[in-house]
Amino acid sequence: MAFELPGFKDFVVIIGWDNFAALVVDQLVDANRQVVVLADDRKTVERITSTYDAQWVMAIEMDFLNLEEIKRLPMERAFGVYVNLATDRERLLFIYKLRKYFDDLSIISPVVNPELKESFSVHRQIFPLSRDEISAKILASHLFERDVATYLNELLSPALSDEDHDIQQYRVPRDNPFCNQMYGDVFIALKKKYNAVLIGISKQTTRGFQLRKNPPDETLVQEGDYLIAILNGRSSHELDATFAVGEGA
Amino acid sequence: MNPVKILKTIGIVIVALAIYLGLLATLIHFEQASDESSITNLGEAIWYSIVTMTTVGYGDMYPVTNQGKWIGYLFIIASMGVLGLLIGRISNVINEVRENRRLGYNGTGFTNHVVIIGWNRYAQTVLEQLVAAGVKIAVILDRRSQLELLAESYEKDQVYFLLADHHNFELARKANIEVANIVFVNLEDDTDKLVYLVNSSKFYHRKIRHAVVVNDHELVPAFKSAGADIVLSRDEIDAKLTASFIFEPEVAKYTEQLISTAADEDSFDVQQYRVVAKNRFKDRYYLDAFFEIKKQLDAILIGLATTIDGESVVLGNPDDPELKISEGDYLILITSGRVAKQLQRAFGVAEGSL
Repeated sequence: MAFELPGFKDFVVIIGWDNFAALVVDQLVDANRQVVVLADDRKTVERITSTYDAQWVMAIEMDFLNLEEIKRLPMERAFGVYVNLATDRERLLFIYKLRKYFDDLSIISPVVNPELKESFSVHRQIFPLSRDEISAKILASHLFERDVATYLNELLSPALSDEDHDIQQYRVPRDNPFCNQMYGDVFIALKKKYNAVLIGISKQTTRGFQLRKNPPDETLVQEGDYLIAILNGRSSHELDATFAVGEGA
Repeated sequence: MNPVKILKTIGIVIVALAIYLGLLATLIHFEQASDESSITNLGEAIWYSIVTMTTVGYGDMYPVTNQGKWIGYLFIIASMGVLGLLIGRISNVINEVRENRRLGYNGTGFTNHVVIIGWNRYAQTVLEQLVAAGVKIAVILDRRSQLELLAESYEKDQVYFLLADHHNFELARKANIEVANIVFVNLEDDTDKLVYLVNSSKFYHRKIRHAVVVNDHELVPAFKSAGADIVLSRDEIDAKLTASFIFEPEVAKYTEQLISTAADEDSFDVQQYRVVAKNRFKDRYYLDAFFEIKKQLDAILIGLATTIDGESVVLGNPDDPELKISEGDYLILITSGRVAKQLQRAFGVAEGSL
């Protein structure tokens, strides 16, 4: 029997549950993302169900290592999968199997050994994250540039109030006023009109998206590109209206 | 070398010298009694003894009396040991000095540096970020095998290694720990870190700033109350970026690069520069500086660390048109490695808050 999951759209599937998965879910819920958690024991499912609002987080008891079981979920409506298994070996094997079943799905997985990062990303749309590297870099920032660290911490957290800053990405639709304009002009216009700081652009190419940080002013902003900007909640609402799309991928 | 050892060595040298001079005096005393003797004063006696003990043996001077010949036997026998002993002692001293330097026992002159207690892959990632930012670092590790692998990998004028038990606070003074900017306590488990913090505050009379990364995020308050100045939860930080990767991968990729120290000219990084008296943006409006820095220096001004009512605050992308940049503030910018060099020249300071 298939799971219908009515009301769930663009949701994130989390495979496996532990304290870290709980922290990730907290972040996703703060960023208004719906989450489906697959756990292999009833007690965990009951605990998740009693902790989170069912409108945002749904826990399902399932033998998730059996991919046929996962196929019962409406994965075509899923935004991506976070693979939270215990070891690099388990994660790697699971990702290869998952990719065979679901071609286009974004897969995000932690990697303990950073040297395995390349092995994880042999298929497209797989994002391996070396967990220790992230926090080590943030810590280093705290040690010698404390204000940068404070700022980065704010940028990493989803904006909860209108005053909180966040890095956001906006897809450029054809009818957007910035479409076919020079990057330098968009940079000035975004700051003056919306107090948004344009920090990069992700250009659509034949080989997928190519991220360009602080590119030359002459770079053309084209339909389908993503503009990446730092802005607060207030500016975000105004930009949402201008871009006629919400923030995010 | 410790003082007891030095005193012992000095004592041995004095006794050896006294015996040597005594033998020379005796030799001169007996030889002066003979008319055929070639050893009649101290200079000749020293010459004879050294030529004999170094096994050169010119034969220009030699004892002729029986008593003098007995002393001559002693110098000949000594010649077999003295040279070997001297060479051995000298090479021992050289080896000891070299070993002490390698293990860090000669200490470091670093000040305002970062001290890392404990070594693993995590510490190495932190160290590499700090090295790329030009920060001086002292590492205290307790395994000789690790030190031997690492000692040659970094410039000695930037990274200093000390082999010591992590809880040996006295030996840690060799890392100039009391004048460090901050000490990163990187021990294996959270309990060990907590014990270190408590004992460290008891041992050192000066206030030392500590940073810890806790494995269990629920222990953050315990570390704060133990006096840690920076307490980060590894899981919380990772969860933030993980969530970001899930729903906005382009942003997460950008953020991941921003949190890394720019290791080469083409990579990007967030940096902070103190506003000094000669900074041309001092007393200028933030918004004017924003556009000028982008146009003239190709860097993106994203915030200002300043003081409001005596309290340090970080203003992210402020929109107040009246906000001015003051001396002592920090400009926070996104910049590439190449532009960072121009910024250092333009602002007249190195990056960072150390």
